[in-house]
Amino acid sequence: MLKKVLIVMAGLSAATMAHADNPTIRGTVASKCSVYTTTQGVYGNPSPDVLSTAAASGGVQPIVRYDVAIGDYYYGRITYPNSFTSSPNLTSSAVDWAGEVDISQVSVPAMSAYTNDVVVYDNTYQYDLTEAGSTWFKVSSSATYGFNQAFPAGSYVANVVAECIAK
Amino acid sequence: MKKFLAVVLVAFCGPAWGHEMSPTYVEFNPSYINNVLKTTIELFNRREDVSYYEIEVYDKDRNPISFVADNKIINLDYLEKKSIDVYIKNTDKDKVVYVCTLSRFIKEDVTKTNVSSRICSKAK
Repeated sequence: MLKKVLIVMAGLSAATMAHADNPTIRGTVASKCSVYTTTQGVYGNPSPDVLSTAAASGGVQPIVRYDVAIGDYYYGRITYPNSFTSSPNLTSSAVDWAGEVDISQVSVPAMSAYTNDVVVYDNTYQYDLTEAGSTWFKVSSSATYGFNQAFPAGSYVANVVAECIAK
Repeated sequence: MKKFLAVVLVAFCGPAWGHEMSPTYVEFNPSYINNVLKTTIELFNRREDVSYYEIEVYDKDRNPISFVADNKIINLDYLEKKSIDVYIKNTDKDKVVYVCTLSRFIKEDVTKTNVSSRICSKAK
């Protein structure tokens, strides 16, 4: 009797162990290029007719970080401002804009070569993001108003545009 | 040395705000409406300073192409993720090259530079 019970129990446990599990494979498609603002820019007002992000003018340069998961899939395009998105009333044609984009930090030494292949047009710098990793870009911007005219009092906001464009 | 590294990390690791979008390459497939194609993009807002994103569809020369989405400007809170369906006309299928999202700001009374981020996926 005991033997029969043992045989039945062994059979049942074997059947339980033999059941098929459905293994799942999970995956997540994450963004291959992300844009991070690590430092918000601030305009300093060193003289009545100048707004500048230069540290010497009391400003802060905006810094943008590009995180690229796989190299050679994206262009990084950064455009420094050539107009205010919000400001007191100005004669816009009287504002003289200048700016520059440069690499401030890299996570992979080969990224330093990005500056050699940069394409510059209008107020846009286009970098070929060939390496995986993070690259920090600093943007400088300055606006000079007319000929010895003072900027009217008020707040001024200008936009830097940082783009990831798939190749 | 470890202490020095810790100080450097603390000093340089300020807040960072990010804009993420996937997939890198979008594919337009037939939708439930005749002659209308659909693709889905996923947007993740890691920018604390941004709550709105605008969807854009462009041709190869960055000329805008008409499209339909639930909203062209999407409210997306910090750390929120959203799937967005974008619809185009079948006739525009060969013209569409980029599907982009651009961060939008609310007007503020501060003298500063904003960083607008735009991520563009390419149509296959």
